[in-house]
This record gives sequence, C-alpha cells and structure tokens, in this order.
Amino acid sequence: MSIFPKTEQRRRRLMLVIVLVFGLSTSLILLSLPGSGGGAGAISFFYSPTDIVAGKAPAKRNIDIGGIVVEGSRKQLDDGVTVQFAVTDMKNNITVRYKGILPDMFEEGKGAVAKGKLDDKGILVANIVLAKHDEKYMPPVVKKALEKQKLNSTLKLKQ
Amino acid sequence: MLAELGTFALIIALCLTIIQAGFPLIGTLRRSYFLDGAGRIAVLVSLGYFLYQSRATTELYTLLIPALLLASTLTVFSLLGTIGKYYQQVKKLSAQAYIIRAVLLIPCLLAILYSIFIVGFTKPLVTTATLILSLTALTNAPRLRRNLFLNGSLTFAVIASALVGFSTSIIPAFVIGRFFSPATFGIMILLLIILAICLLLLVALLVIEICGNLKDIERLKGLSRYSTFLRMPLLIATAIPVLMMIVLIKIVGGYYTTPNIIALTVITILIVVPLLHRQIYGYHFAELTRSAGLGQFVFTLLALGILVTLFVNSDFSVRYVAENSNTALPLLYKVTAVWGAHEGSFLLMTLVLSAWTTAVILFSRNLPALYAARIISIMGLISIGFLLFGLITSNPFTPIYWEQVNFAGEFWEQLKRVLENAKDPSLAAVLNKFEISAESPVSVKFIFGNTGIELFTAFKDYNLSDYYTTFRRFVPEAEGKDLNPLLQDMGQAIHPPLLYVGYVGFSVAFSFSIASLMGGKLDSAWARWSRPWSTIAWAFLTLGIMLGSWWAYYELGWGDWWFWDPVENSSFIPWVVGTALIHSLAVTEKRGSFQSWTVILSIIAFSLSLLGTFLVRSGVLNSVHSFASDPERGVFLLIFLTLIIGGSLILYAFQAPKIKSIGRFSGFSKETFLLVNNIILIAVAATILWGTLYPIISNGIQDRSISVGPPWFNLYFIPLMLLLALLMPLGPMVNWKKHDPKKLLMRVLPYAVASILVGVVFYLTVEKINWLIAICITIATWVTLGSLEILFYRIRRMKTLGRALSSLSASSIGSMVAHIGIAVFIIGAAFAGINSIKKTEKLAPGQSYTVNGIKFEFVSTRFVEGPNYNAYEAKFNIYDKGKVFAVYPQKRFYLKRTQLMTEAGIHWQLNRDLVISMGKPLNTFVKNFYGQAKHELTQARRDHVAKLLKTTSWPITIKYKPFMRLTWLGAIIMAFGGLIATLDKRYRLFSRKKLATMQAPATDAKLKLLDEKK
Repeated sequence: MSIFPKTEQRRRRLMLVIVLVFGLSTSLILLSLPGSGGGAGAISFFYSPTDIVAGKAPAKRNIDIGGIVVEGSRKQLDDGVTVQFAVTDMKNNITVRYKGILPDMFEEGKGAVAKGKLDDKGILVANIVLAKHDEKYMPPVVKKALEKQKLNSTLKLKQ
Repeated sequence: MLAELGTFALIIALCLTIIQAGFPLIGTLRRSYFLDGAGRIAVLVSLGYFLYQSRATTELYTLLIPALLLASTLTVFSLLGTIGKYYQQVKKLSAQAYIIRAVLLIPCLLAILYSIFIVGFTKPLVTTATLILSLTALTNAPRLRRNLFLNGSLTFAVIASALVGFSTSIIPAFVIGRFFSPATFGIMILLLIILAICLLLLVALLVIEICGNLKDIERLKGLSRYSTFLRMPLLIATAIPVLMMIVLIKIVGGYYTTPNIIALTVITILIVVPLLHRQIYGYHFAELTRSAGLGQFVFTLLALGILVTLFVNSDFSVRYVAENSNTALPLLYKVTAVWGAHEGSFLLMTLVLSAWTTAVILFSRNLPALYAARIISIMGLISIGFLLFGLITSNPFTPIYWEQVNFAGEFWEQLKRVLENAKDPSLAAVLNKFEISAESPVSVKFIFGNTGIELFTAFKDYNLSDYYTTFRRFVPEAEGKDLNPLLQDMGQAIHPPLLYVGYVGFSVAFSFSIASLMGGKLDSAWARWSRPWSTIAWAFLTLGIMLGSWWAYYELGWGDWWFWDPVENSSFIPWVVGTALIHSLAVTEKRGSFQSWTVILSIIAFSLSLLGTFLVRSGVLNSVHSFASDPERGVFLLIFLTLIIGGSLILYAFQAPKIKSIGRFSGFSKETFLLVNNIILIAVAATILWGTLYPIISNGIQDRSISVGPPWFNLYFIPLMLLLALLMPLGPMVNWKKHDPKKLLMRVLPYAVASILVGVVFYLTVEKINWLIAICITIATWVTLGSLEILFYRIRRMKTLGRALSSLSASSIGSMVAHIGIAVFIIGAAFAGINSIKKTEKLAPGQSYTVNGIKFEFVSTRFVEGPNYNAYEAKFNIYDKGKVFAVYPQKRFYLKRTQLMTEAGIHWQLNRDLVISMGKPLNTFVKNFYGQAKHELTQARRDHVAKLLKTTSWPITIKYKPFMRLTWLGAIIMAFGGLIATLDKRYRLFSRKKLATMQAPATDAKLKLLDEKK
C-alpha cells in the first residue's frame, strides 16, 4: 500500500489540497488570536468578579463576566428599562447594568453570563445577558470561576 | 429454598462462562487468528466479573462442584469427538457447523446481557466486559469452524445457558410474580412456556447434531434446505435472553424498559449476523438482517410509544416523566414533552435512526444482497451505540426510586414496621439477613440477591403491599415538575424530530460509503444509490435548522434568528459538509471521479453529526441551550465517536489504494467548479468548527475562558458564502470534462450586467440600503437569474416553458430551485441582519412609540389564566402605512416551575417582522400577583390588579426586522429543491433489469455462487 499518489497529476492535486488545508488552518489560528480579527465583540475573554476587582480585565473592551446573581441585588433603574444586578463568585461582586429585557430564565441566586464593557466606575455595561434555559445547567465558565474560589463544596449552589 | 436456587443460578452462570471460555482457548490451539487474544481477554474479564459478582452472595468453594462437573462433561464430549471414528466425516460437516457457530453466539449474547443488566449499568468493569464479550461473540464463532469435535459440548453449552436463563430469571420472577396482578402472573407463565419450547428446540438441535455426527453426513451437508426450519429455533433461542430481561427488569420495577432491550438484542443480531455472513449462509442471513432491522424499528417505536403513554397518563413513578411533565400540562405538550429533555430526545433520535434503517431496508431490495446487508449491518452498528448509550447513561424509563438516595432508609423503615407487626420468627430471620444488605442503599443487586427473593417468599402471606406500590410511595411529587416553559410550544413538536431526521440521515450516506469501502469498490453505482439518501437527509436538516432558527426567534427571545451559538453551530456544520457531499456525489455519480473525497465527506458529515450530539449532550460547551451535563455521557459518546471515526478511517486507509478514478477533466469544467464549491464549503465548515471549538481549546491550553462572538463568525462566513454564491450559477451551466471559458462568459454576461445594475439602482435610490446590502442584492439577483438561465436557454430553443421544463431532469430543476432558495435567503439575511432595529422603552397603556415610521400604540393590559400558568396580556395596535394590526404579547408565569416566559407578539409580512416583547411590570403588586397559586387569586385581588394594570408601565422591547421571513422562506425553498432532486427518474426507475446490466459495486464471488445455486 503506497501512501503517495502514483501519477504526477494526483501528486500535484494532493499538494494543492495539503497547502490549502494547511494555509486555512494556519490562518484560522492566527485570525482567532485575540485582537487580530473580527472587530468588536468577536472574541472576548471571560473574567470572574475577583479578576475584575484585581484589575486584570481591560477597560473598554468586550469582556464576558459570569457568576451567581446576588440575591436581592436586582433592581430596575428609574428609566424603567435599565436593570442593574450584581454577580458574585462568592468572594467579590461586580455590578452589571443592562438596558433591555432580561432573559426569562434569569434569576437571583442562579448563574448568569453578561457580555459587555467595563465603564470608569467598574460597572459592566452589558449588551447581552445570558441565562440558562435549563435550570440544572451551570455554564462551565461560571462553575470554574466558582471552583477557583473553592467555595463550591461548602456553599450549596442552586444548580 | 428458592433463594438458594437464585444463588445456584449464579453459580451455573459462572460455570457457563468457564465453558464458554474453554472453547476459544481450546479452539485457538488449532488455528490462531489474530483476534484470539481478544477472546482470551474476554474470557478472563468475564470470569473475573462473575467471580466478582458471586462474591457478594455466595462462598467461593460452592462454585467448585458444578464447575468440575461441567468441565468433565466437556472433556468427555471432546474425547468422544476426537477419538471417534467419525472425525474425518465430521470435518466435512460445514453446513451444520455454521448453525452451531450461530448457536454459540447465544451464550455470548446471554453473557453480555446478563452482565449488563444484573449490575444495572453502574460499573465500568461491566461495560468493559460487555464490549469485550461482544468481541468474543464476533470472533468466537468462526474460530470454532473446524473444531467439530467440540460440537457436542457446544450444544450442551447452549442448553446450559438457556437453563441458566431459566433459573436466574424465571424462577425468581415466578415467585415474585405472585405478588403482582393475575395478568402479570399470566405473562410469567407464558414466558415460561416459551422458554420451555426454546429449550425443546435446542434439544432438537442437539439431536440433529448428534445424528449428523453419526449418520449420513453428505445428506446433512445440504442442510440449507432445512435452514428455514433451523433458523427459527435459533431466532427463538436468541429471544431467550430477551425474555429473561423482560422478567428481570420487571422485578426491578421498570416495566417499560423492555422494548428498548429487545431492540438492543435484535440489533445485536443485526450486526453480528452479516459480519459472519461470509462464513454462514450468505443470502439467507442477509434476509435475517432485514427482518432484524425491522424488528428493531418496531421495538424502538414501541418504546417511544410507551414513553408517550407514560407522559399522557402522567405516570410520575418514572423519573423522566416526573421531571418533565405535569398534570396540568395540555395534552399536546404532554406528548411533545417526551423529547423535551435529554433522555427522551435521545430515544427519539434512536428511533429516527432505526426509521432510516427501515427505509434503507425497504428501498434496498434492488441492491446486491451482500451490499445491502453490509449497509444495514453498519447502520446496526451505529444503532448499537445509540441503544447502548440510551440504556447505559440515559434511560428515560428509569423508575424514580432508582436514584433516591434515601430509599434504603425509608424502605427499611417501612419493612421494619411490617416485620414488627408480623411477629413471625421466619421473618425475623429474613430481617437479619436484610440488615446486612441495608447498610448501604438498597441496590439492584440486593433485589436480585437471594435475600430479596427470600424476603418476597416470606412476605407473600403478609399484608405488605406489593413491591411496586411500595416503590410508588417514594415518588416525591404528585404533580410532576412540569416541562420547561420554553418548550411548551408548537416548535417543540416539529423542530427536534425534523432536525434529527436530517442529523441522523447522514448515517445512511455513511453506511453506503463504508459498505462500498468494505467491498473495495467505489463506483458510480454507489454514488447513484447514495445520492437520493444524502439529499433527503440534507433537505430535512435544512428544514430542521430553519425551524430551529424560527423557533428561537419567536420563543427563546434571544432577539435574533441566528446566534452562532455552539448548539446551533453543531447542527449547521454537518449541514455545510452535507451540502459539499451532495455536490461531490454528483461528480462521483456522473463522472466517476472524486470517490475518495466523497467517501471522506460522507464520513466527516456523519462524524460531525455525532460530534454535534457529543457537544450538545456532554456539557463541554458554554451554550445557553446545551443539556444538563453528565460526564459519563460525554465519555461514552467520545468513545463511540472515536470508534466510528477511527474505524472508518482505518478501513479507508486500507481500501483507498483500490479506489480508481476514471473521469479526467480539464481546468475549466463542471468538475472544477464543484471542486471549488467543495473547498469553499469545507473552509466554511472548518471555520465554524474552529470558532465553536476554540473556546474549549483555548481553555485547555491557556487556562483562559473566552467566547467567540457572532462578529467573528460573520467576518469569515459572509465573504466565503458570498464568494460561493457568486460561483453558484456557473456550476450548472458549465459542461462536464471541458468548457470554453469565453463561451461561458458570453452566455452569462447579460445576466451579470443586469445583476450589477439592479444592485447599483437599489443602492442609489433606496436610502436604507448600504453597500453590503447592495452587494447582497446584486449577488442574489445574479444567483436567481443565473440559475434560471438554463431554463431560459431551453425555452429559447423549445419555445414553451412546459417543454423546457420537461426536458430538464428533476435533479437539475431541484438544484435550480435550491439555488434560488439561497438567493432568497441572502436577501432576507442581509436586510434582517443589517437593517434591524431594536428599541426598549418604558411604556404604559395609552402611550405609543414610533419605530421606523411605524406607530405602536399600547392599548391595554389584562390578566389571563392558562392551564399551568398565569399571564399578563398586552394589546398593541400597530399603525403601518394606514393599516392597523393588533398584536397580543404576553408575560407568563409558569406556576410549577416558577419560571417566567415571554411570549412575543409578532406581526409579520413578507417585507418585515414586528416583534413586541414585555419585560417585568414596574409595579410591585402586579409583579407579585401572577406568581401566586390560582386559589389565592381572590376576586377582590383580581379587581385590584385590573385597576392597577390600567396605569402600570412596562419595559417594552420593539424589534423591526425587514425581510425576516425571507431567510426561512429561502431555507424552505432549498429543502424543497432537495426533495425535487430526489424525485429524479434515474433513482426511481432503478429496476432489477437495469441492475442486471450494471456492475454490482461489491461483487462477491461467493455470493454470486449462492445466488446461482438458488
């Protein structure tokens, strides 16, 4: 069994395919590196509230933040359409502001992910808030962030 | 006494395994195949397993006596066979040996099922043993071919195993059965009778066997005439373990698992038999494969039917039902709730797979028998994976007590109470035994163990309610947790089934390819057979994805029709590869080239479907709608995926050198265009796959969590797709093999100019059309005109549209329609994607708001009650170009799940969609009111709310989406095009006559001989 094609034509075609596949994968890897393509919101990093408090998150760039929505933190601002709530990783809290209607599954005490930019006061101005459709589900990133705080086992999280 | 019988049965099972182990070991002394190793491992593992099992209930030394007895029997038989003067004659007894070998499969199957179900899928060791045992089942039989001196003991083994089945299951069942209703008892008796008949038949087989040894061997050689008769007992004998399982499962309480298990068994035959095909009867067993496949479908259907019945009856003793249904749920949603979560939807997927298998079985009569059998067998292999996955990790029929951790305690308390009241010395004895087991939570093993049986025997005269109702007492909820409100919708009724039909449909193309690879021949006939299947699957997938998008749009309230969510992507990637596949198949069929590529594509398409299943159901992805995760499921799927992909690629590596490309083509030809089409589509698929998996990869490498958003996908997807669309109309126009570029240019130039003009005119005249939309319009016009060009061309020559249409083949009309569908989609996606407006405002009844010149008047709000929810319903009047439309968005509160649900109010026309959705009311009383149980809503409070609603303001989101409907319409047109293409005459009129003149793709000399003999 020979792996190499016998005819010149086939060999050339094989080369072409290899080059294409190789080029494609390289370019994809390069392009998906942060900041290199796609413009705003293309690729965003996930930060836990503790990361943000520690100043690890860049300002004015799209970031993802996730955690548990703090009980009692949700409130409607006076304009009637902006909602404010806090997410926690059981160590630090970050306030999130979102203009619009929150997803139906959004609930205090449950996991949520918000995407947006940090403003000067350290408030995340979200353009998307995600909550799970399935109440048993905890987004892996949120879970991980919580596990980092090593409180997962002691605090009975509503999963 | 009966308890001892149970123990004894376990011992016999162990002995049987020893016997079973003996065969491969002895057999390999004569001929060693490279698979022998697997056999030996299997033996060791199964031995170890049964030792492990017996440890819990018996003392090891008791095993020795029966084991020795059986071993001596084996020796005697072997000696007789070897010393006897018939040896030379027996050697010729091939036909009979075939039967024996097939019979040998039974103990193997039995051991598999036995190990699976006794332990209840909880131990990894068992799963391993099972897999290895199935390997033995496959490898054992051929190896014993020449070792005919073992025949006697072989048959003995079969009988012994049947006896084991008899004693391990029926006898305890018989005892326990008396606690159940007379009907159950009757069934038990019936099972006993059937088993007895099976045993008799096996004894008959033994007699024939011995006769064959002693008498006229030449006559028996032609045993194929009796094969019909002989295969019947074989089939029934295979049914023994199945019947056993029915009983076993029944004891556990999960009545409803039965059809699933039968389907699993049947499918095992389906896979085992054709793989032994060369050695066994060939043609006849190919037929058996078909019947088995149909049987699998029937039983899987029955399983789903039972699940539906459970849902309709709200039987909350089944966990899955309790978690996903509710007594107040409307009937329709009770039915659709069946596939509302992981377990049920996987069962549905399994059913769809067997439906595809059935379709292949029904429509493959004209294929060469061996080829068809292989296809069905490979589909069976996939089905085994699906069924095993369902049974092991996600059985929807699991009774609710099964997973109750506190079960032991409560059950124990209950028993104690009964025992104390009974005050019977014999019961006290049982109590002591029971206590030992009750230290840990009561498990299945306990129930099967001798103590369990003893317990039942002891209790039969007392007033302890039967086992089943005892379990029922542990049902935590009388109402059920209710179905996720998002799924209480018509979309749930149609989207998952359609999507699965498409998803799983690629398994057919996959099976065709693998079967062809096995036969070592990939020619145009293969492509022709495979093509309509792939196209239908593709069309369904198109519809499924479209429905998903539509549903997400109006129900999930993500605010968009496509989100580039990983779950969406995992259905879309197979679609893209599937699109490449149906185009590549065209080249393979018409020109006999690209075979390797097509094979690879069909493997990839199916693998990606499986990968999608894995991603969605394993919980590795950050998606808003993946299923609740379970690592065990992920591992299983990953193994399955590896086996499928690895296996097929290895097969490909071995067989690829045999593939010969016939068609040659020049640089400018239809082949080249289709090649470019494929390259672009693969690039698209790779991009989306990369974007979907990148977060996982990045997380693994850098330990950083990231997300890849829609802008990233759009950046690569849109240009690639527009490039593809640009080339799209050219493909059908260009000739095969060679085409003159200049001629083509002259032919398309007017259309190109016209399209550009259209784009420019729109760009200049309509204010809202930016350059990107203008480009999209140009390309869409170009695709439409270019696709219709073939038709125009013919009309010019043939004068009438009718004649022109009839001169075109259905597949070219289909492709034309599908391409136009793309054009329609492009228009819709461009407008809806770029020119959509979304506004959120605080509004109260009486106020109005204007978006894009359309006035939305908030008229009123009222409180409404649904079957399982309370809601506020708003009325909006929409004033659009002098017309008034009323829409009624709702904000619902589902009481059981305490979950909110926004029902958007949508008014649509072809040129725009208007979506109104409500937030939470900005009044605390109103906000709290609808979350209360219905009986708390007194008339006075209702009146109060009605009054408050007049002034309560709401956050209201209004969306304006131009040409939204065109995206879905485009997808429907595409799917329609696909369906037209499959109506092509050359698929339909694929008659036997034509087949005879055509080369069979997997000609098998042996098979030919068999056919001739017939």
